[in-house]
Amino acid sequence: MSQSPSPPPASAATTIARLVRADLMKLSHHWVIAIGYGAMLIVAIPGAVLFHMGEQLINVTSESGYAFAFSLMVRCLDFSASILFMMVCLLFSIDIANGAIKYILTRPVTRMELLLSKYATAAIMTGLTLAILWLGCLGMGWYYYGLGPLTENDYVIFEASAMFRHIAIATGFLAFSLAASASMAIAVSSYSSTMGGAIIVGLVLYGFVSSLTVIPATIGFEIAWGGETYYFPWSSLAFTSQLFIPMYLLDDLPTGIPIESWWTWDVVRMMLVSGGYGLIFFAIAARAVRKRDFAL
Amino acid sequence: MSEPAAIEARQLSKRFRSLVAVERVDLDVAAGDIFGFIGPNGAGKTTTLRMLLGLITPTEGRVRIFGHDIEREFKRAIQPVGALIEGAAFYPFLSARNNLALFGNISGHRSHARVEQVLEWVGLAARGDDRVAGYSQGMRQRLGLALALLERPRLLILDEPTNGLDPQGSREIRELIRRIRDEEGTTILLSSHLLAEMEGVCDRLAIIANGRILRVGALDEVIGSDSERLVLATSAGDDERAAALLRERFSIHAARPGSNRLEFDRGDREPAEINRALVEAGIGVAALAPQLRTLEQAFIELTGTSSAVQ
Repeated sequence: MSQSPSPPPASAATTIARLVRADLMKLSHHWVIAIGYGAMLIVAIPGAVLFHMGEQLINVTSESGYAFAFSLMVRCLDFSASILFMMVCLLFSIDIANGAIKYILTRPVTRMELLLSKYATAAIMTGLTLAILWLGCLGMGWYYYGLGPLTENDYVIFEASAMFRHIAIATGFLAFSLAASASMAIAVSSYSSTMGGAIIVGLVLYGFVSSLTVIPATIGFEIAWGGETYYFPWSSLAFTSQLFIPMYLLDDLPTGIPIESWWTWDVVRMMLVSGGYGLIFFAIAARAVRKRDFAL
Repeated sequence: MSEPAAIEARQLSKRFRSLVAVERVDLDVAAGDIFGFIGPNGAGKTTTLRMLLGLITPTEGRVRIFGHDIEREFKRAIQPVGALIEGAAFYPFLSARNNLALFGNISGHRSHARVEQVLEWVGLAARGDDRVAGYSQGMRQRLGLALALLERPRLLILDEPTNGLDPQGSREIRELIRRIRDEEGTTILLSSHLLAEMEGVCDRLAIIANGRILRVGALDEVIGSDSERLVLATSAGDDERAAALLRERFSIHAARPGSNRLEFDRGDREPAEINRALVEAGIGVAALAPQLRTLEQAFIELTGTSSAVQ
């Protein structure tokens, strides 16, 4: 019996979408992912309770659910970012450690499509992290104060819609730093042979990059651009701490200071640093994925 | 237009620094064949298969699958291929059915009926919902074969497919391999160091050792026959008289491995001449034929090793 010729292979976009679906399917069955996302919520809720208790103790209340949510997000962000980083470290290593990568690489999938699919999956995981953070913090803010306007002595300082808009923008900017950190996790993962190894090496690297904050902020240089001069402190190279820049801007709102523009030099610098790191780690991951003999 | 060869490898070499793992291998597997690829452990079988599948890049040479270059047209070349290489490996936290569905989704072949069919073929239908973590090595091997068959491949590349299976399981897999070729028209490249199982399944085979192909061809061509050595089967009780005649008339000293059976080197004597002498002496000749060799004999002769051969 002879067989008919095979149909033409799927396009790159379709292949990447299928790989992402496969990644999401296997990750949704893995206990580490369930525990990771669960931990984000579990930390946010007692964190909110403790934060609220602290407010009651010193008789300074947020007055607005949004203001409460902003402060809570700043406190939960570091933990959630670390958990997300560890989970993204599993993206390649879960395939490599179980040997299943050889089946993926013997399907009509190019190595670059495979790498891009990991970035797409990481983007979805980042989005889910931000959604959990957002909903968790806003939910707790609503629970304690409701999601009304920010007022002082019945005088409306900021409307609820303005508060909502700014928290949405800040959350969007957070994605830049988280994406850079995910890129680092994918690079580590692509060189690892075990899941535990990927997480340990990843955390060491994450700690090293974070430790660059100890470089005094006063050391830096100035960049002349578009007729303006901008200051670039070397401590900005700790891109993990760039995560907090949108939150610092956001944190001004509850004190009554309006946010005139999100396009400040701090935010641009955060995007440049995060983008630079993201691209460097993408190149490192691409080298491993293109050259590595994963079947060994 | 004739169908292109299922596999066409030319001058395939792979070096890992100073180690030459595979050297100038030429391989042609015609569509519809069951092609055996045999060699002792470390001969270069798996490295060759990994190059055929595009898992590693050859240092030199090229591979075409059904006419498509594996490097330049990877997706087209690999599309019709199913493979089980270097042992089966799956996500242990997923069930067999979920593993098959996951890999099927990657290629867009989502057929519940096909998943059930291949699980049935490899004898795992009843355990398909169990997590792979609880599977024995033999069950994982069966699942690996099911995955290789999932997308109705035109070319199946199987590396040591009966590893970890008991004798009954090995026989079932050999029967399945023949059935797949006959029913689905699949070309099969089978790599193994188990000579007996290759002898019973393959149409053509290649013997590889130290990274080089030593012999390739149809099974009987590769095995060959030892035309110098004859086997004589006599009527009951005639074997002693036959041995005496051979010794006295032709100076041939025959071995007697069993009753009424002699084996001897004929030297420059023609078999017809020996047969005539035996018949004229009234010895009952049941059969006189060149001694057939086994694949193992041919293999040992070519590779000079039997240590890795079972």
